[in-house]
Amino acid sequence: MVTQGDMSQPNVDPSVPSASAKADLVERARAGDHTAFAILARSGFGRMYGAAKLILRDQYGAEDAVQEALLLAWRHVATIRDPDAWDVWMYRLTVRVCYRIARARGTREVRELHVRLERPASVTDFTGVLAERDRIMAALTDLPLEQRAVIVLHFYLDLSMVQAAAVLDVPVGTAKSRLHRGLEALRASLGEEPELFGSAIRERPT
Amino acid sequence: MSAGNDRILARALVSAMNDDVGQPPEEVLVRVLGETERARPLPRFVALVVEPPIVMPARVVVGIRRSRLLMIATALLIATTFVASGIAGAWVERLTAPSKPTDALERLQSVGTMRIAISPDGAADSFDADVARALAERLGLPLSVVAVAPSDLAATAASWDVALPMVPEAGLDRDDFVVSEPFYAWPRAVLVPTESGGTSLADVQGQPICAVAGDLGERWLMGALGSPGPSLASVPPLPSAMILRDTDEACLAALEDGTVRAVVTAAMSPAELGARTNLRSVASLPPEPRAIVVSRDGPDPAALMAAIEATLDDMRRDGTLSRHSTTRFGADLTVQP
Repeated sequence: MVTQGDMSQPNVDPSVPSASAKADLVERARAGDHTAFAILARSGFGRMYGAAKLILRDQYGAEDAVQEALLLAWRHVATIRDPDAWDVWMYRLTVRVCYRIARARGTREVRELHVRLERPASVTDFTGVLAERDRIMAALTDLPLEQRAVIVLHFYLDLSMVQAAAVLDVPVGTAKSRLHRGLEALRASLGEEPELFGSAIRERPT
Repeated sequence: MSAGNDRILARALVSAMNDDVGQPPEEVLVRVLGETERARPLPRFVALVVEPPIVMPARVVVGIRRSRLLMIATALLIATTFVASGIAGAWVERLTAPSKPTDALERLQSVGTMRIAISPDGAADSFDADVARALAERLGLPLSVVAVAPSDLAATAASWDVALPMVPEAGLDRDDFVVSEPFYAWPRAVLVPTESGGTSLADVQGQPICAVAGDLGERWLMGALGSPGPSLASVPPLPSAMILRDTDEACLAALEDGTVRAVVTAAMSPAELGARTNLRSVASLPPEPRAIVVSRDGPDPAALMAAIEATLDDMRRDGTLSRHSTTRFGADLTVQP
């Protein structure tokens, strides 16, 4: 098991408000205050965009997805009932739009070009890091959409499995099952380092 | 698998994803905030209806539970029925006063809310509710869902704008409704108890079979359908007795208590049948096409139906209909016009 705090965090916008300030902003946004909504949107934009790009594997699709998700969020802002659920709701909107975009494209997915470095990793550490990153991202890209999404939610966005299941609108068991299958598939793709891919689900309180 | 390797994996995965994402495009945020500043949020009740709920452990944090929404919709329907029955004087005024006919789509856009009727048999989290939400969202209108039995659609036409009646489109009265092209087809099958060992129509030859009175299944058993095609049951079995019941549920009860040895039914989706290990399908019949209707009682519905057809085409093309069908029914039951 991996505990929270043992890994690097996703990029965090330094302007992310405190929990109490955020609750106040959500209440104001719900009442129609666009300034409050803009602050919330700005604080969460980076993570929403990152999640969309990782799920869709396409920069322009991610831009469309985040744009549409934020528009939906503003239009439906009165529906939020618990300010603490703001982030989960933003991610739900983002993932929902990503799914729609991905399925509209059918099986064709836009993939970013990964340049595989042929030099042995011992030449420079930087070379090895890039090669490993490219291998991991290529393997992630090859995953089915649903497995990739739950991996992004759990590892990139650092959501618990309960939160990830709420974002995906599936039972927690289903989310865990998809995560397990995704990690199994990553293990198979990355081949020579199977010991890296163990039980990597991080169980933590919601 | 060691905890250390787990941490290495997770760290590598997170690091790779962070590197891959890079910097988010600020201009996209600026652009979308410009758009939201010009737009208005939906009223709270409409937003609660339109947005699917999020339920964190034991509490609803976004939206409203669909069961509660259905109760509210039913209460609204009852209230609307009472109001409709008390406006006889207003009808007289309408008849005598000159009225300017308006196009149904224009009236909908001026009112600002789309009222979609679904059958009370359909839950708020059903395929028809999914389609209703998608339809309203794509037409740019807030959604209000009302529960109306198919038999009451004509009588309650003033209380809804569009209906998804969950009945065969062939059974809809074209004098009362404009009917869209079918957008999905509900399966119908011949079912036997799994324990009977039956695997084909030959196994129910000479057995009592139940069908719903007036249904396509009854006509098929009587041999009135002809040959629908090579993939469907073309020749009905000759039953020892054709037992008619009012509903699919009554036929299934007759199967369960042994009154009949097979039923012709449209009671279950593929997913539901798959979950019923005590039942097996031995043949498939022509599925019943289902459509969307607009009432002819009111302004000209032509433009509204054209908008609905265009929206259904979009949802076919981008896979929305197929996706909702597979989610709800366990199979893609959508059809092309």
